[in-house]
Formats: sequence, C-alpha cells, structure tokens
Amino acid sequence: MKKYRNDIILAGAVLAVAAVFFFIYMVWGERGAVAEVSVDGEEYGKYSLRESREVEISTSKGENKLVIENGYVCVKEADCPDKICVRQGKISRQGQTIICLPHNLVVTITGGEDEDVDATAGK
Amino acid sequence: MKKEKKTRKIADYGALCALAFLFAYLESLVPLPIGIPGIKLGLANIVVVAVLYNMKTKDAFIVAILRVVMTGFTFGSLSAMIYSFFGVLLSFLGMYILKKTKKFHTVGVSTFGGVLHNLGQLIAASFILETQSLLYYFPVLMAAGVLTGGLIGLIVQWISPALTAALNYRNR
Repeated sequence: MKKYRNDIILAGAVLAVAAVFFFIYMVWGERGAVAEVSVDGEEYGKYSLRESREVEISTSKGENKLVIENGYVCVKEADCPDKICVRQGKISRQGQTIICLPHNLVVTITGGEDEDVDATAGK
Repeated sequence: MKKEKKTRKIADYGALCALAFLFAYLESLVPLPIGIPGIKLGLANIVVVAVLYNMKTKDAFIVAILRVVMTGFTFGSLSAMIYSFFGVLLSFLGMYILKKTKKFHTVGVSTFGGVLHNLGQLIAASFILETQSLLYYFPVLMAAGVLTGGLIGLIVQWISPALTAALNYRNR
C-alpha cells in the first residue's frame, strides 16, 4: 500500500473536496419553488411546492404518486419493481432530483417562476 | 523505413480507436442502474490511459479526440458529444500533467482523469444549458469519477504488461 501512497492521498483529497461541497449544498442549498416532472425526457408538468397536494402520475410503464407537503416533494407510492424512487425520500432544494428509472420519470426541483406554475400541470 | 513507420502508426490509430469504440458500444448496451445522468464507467478510457502509458502523449491525445467524435456521432447526441469533448480536454490535460510529475501511478493518474472528465462535462453543460442547478451534481460526479477512474487505472495497470509485450513483439 505504501507504494500507492500518493495515489491514495489524491483520491482521498478529491473525495474530501466532494464531501465538503456536498455538505455546503445540504446546508446552504437554495430552497426550490417548483417540482418539475418529466416522463421519457418530456415535460409532464410543473407543481408549486407552496401548496400541499398529491399528484398521480401515470406513465406508459406505471404509476407514481407524488406528495407535496411543506415545500418538500417525495414519491409516496409507485408500482415500479425496485421502489428506488420511493426510497429517495423528500427533496426540497434546487437541483435535487428523484428519479424512477423503470418508469423513465424524473422529478427536479427548480427555482421556477410562479407564473408558469400549474400552467402546464397535469394531464 | 519511414514510410513503414507511418503506415504502422495509421494502423495503430485504427485498431485503438476501434477498441475504444467497441468499449463505448458495450457500455451503451449496459447502462448503469444509477439515477444520475452523466455517470458512466468510461471503459473507452482504458484505451486512452493505456496508450498514454505505452505510446507517445500525442498518440493518446489523438485517440482520445477521435473516439469522442466517433462515439458521439454514433451513440450520443450532439450535446453529449460537446460535453464529453470538454471532459476529455480537461481530463487529458490533468492526466498529462500528473503523469509528468512522476509521483503517481496509473491508478492515481486515471482517478484524476476520471474526476476532471466529469468536471469538464459539468462545466460545459452548465454553460450550454445556462443553469447552475447542475452544479448540485458536482460532489456526486467527483466521487463517481474517483471510483470509475480508479477502476480504469487498475485495469490498465493489470493489462499493461501484456500490452507492452504485444507492442514490443510487433515492433521486433
């Protein structure tokens, strides 16, 4: 292992910087205003995080139930096989995403402009 | 003699690019089950790193650029190609400098390259998409770069004796 000391230090340093940035984003990340949902890479709808609601999203491959509450959004239920989207938990900060690969579903938090919200929501 | 050398070089580029191309194809068949866009094993970089260590720097650079253009047009979109182009530029520069210091092994150099590749892509994407929200991925992509770059470095270290032997055999 001593032979690789420099390499390990380098990898460790990079991971440390990544951890610091991660921490900074967690603590100071800007609160988002809108949850943007896309299915198969196409926009499905935008939902304001200010009002609590439940949104049923039906994709060609299955259903996901989105819950918006107190500025957070999470996938509460889904009939995908792995349930990774459900386990990703609540997100609220700009740039955070929940992704359900089996359904090609992506939920992204953005700053958003309030005028746009709900203009394209739902189907 | 000189002409023969040139011909050999052209054949080398062809074979190496084909290999990188094949790796990229294999990778496109098996997407990683991670919900983060932009994370790939980067198998094609095995070729670039291996060439960097077994041939001239210039050769590695040419192979790196050629493979981005080739795989970009075949498997990716134009925007993906632009992102990886910047990733390759940054990562190649970093690997070159790191290798020059002679303080690191293939694993370290490749790790650095993996991280810089992701960083370059992210910066290019942020500029093109005009959004800073992508930077949220920065820590994740860095950590991923360490893992994939390190793995690639290990593989290259592993195949290097065989590759060197093969090149020497042919050059006899």
